[in-house]
Amino acid sequence: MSTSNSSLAALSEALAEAVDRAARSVVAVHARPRLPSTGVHWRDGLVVTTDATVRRTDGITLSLPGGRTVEATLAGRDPATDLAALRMAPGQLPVPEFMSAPARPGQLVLALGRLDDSGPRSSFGAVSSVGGSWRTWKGGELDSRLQSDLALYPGLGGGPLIDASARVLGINSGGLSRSLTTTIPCRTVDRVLDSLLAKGYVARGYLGAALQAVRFSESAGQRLGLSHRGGLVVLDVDPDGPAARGGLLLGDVVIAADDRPLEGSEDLLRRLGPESVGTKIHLDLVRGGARNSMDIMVGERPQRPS
Amino acid sequence: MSLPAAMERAEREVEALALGVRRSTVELQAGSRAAGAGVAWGGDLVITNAHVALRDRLTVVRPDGETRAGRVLSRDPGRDLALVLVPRLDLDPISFGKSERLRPGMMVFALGHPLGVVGALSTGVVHAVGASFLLPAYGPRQHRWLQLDMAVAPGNSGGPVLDTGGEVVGLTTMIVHGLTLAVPSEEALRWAARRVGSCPPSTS
Repeated sequence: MSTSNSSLAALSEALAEAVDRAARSVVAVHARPRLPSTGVHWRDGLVVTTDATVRRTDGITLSLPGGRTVEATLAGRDPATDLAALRMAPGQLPVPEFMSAPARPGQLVLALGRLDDSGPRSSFGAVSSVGGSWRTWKGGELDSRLQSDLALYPGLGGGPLIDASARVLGINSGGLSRSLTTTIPCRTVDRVLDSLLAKGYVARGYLGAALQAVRFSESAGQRLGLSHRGGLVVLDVDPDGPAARGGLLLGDVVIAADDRPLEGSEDLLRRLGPESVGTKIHLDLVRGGARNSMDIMVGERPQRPS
Repeated sequence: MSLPAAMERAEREVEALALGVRRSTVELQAGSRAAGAGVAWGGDLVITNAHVALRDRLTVVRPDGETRAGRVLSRDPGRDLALVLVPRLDLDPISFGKSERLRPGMMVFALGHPLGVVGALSTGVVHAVGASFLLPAYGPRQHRWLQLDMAVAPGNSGGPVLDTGGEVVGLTTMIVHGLTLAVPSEEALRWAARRVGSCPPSTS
């Protein structure tokens, strides 16, 4: 009954072919106890995986397609976007084909994984939702929201999401959302990778102030002539930080940054991306019941030891 | 062929495949309790999981709703297989294919009775073939399993897993880490053939 001219068999064969082709650039990453994770040979000699699956920085090994095991070193990591870059000897593996066009809801996709020398692993589903740039709960900015309904089985985190033609749409992360599988899009991976290779980390803007969202009463808003009621009250100031140098004081309420109203700390964080370091930010604030403003030179967020 | 036409054809093929396998898939009951599914093999034999055929006497429900009395001939809890003799079962034996041909990403289908829904079709893809250290170490790791990315539930156990050609490539057996594990068809067939001393058995 197996007929090779059936549409079903052709579709099935096409999916297996896509898995087979893309899997040539997919490796197993041994960088944590017990369960390995998956990585993608993104550029020659460079493997990308998720940051959360890299638990040790020494003695990292990779299982390559074909069963060979090689050593790798950590080239850099960015917990905020959940990405880590590993270096291995160049010229060993092909790099995959990347999908440059944005994903579309309903598009059929596969997640790939590799855990050991027993061959590639796959799961199948559809793109559920596609959106604009967003900030993860870890604070990193992803260039687009890409979520799908496929099952990310243990060890598939760090592996690629591919379309039916074996083109990579991004890196799957198990830790960024609870329900759907989240994929870190290629553009974000490339951007983070460039920064990691240049500096070993991703720089982010830093003011050195702890802020909490507050709301002015209707009467206070009228008295002060505010266009909106929200603001961020300063709870703490790093004495050596940019905010302290600019003159920000405890109790100040910041109401706008570069003339954009602030309703929550998200609004300010969005203004403090990697490109903000070294630029001037203009803050409008309320101090002691009167309007005030100041310029602060955005610093670079200190690196936490990993 | 345009894509919509190909999709429509593929849909009709899945429909035909489901109809075909439903004719050879039974429901097994222990007393009044639903226990799982089974695959008709030969004229009056059913292959299922050992954990479905826990009792020696089972009620076998044919696809048309008629019931027959079944008796367990053999049981292997390790490989989780059982062979049930069902006089006057009289169902078309199902055609067994080659699970060795499966590759990750290939489409597969399962028929069973998940949570009591009789004759339900599940679709999915092959997750991995071969050994896996993800499997529990106590027993499952000693055997070869088809690891499938497919939604099944209790009631699917013992039912057939099919390839796109509609041939049986495995027996749905358990769920581990969300993955569906199936006994490869070759092993189920070899095991069953040893129990009856011929392959396939003639109808008595």
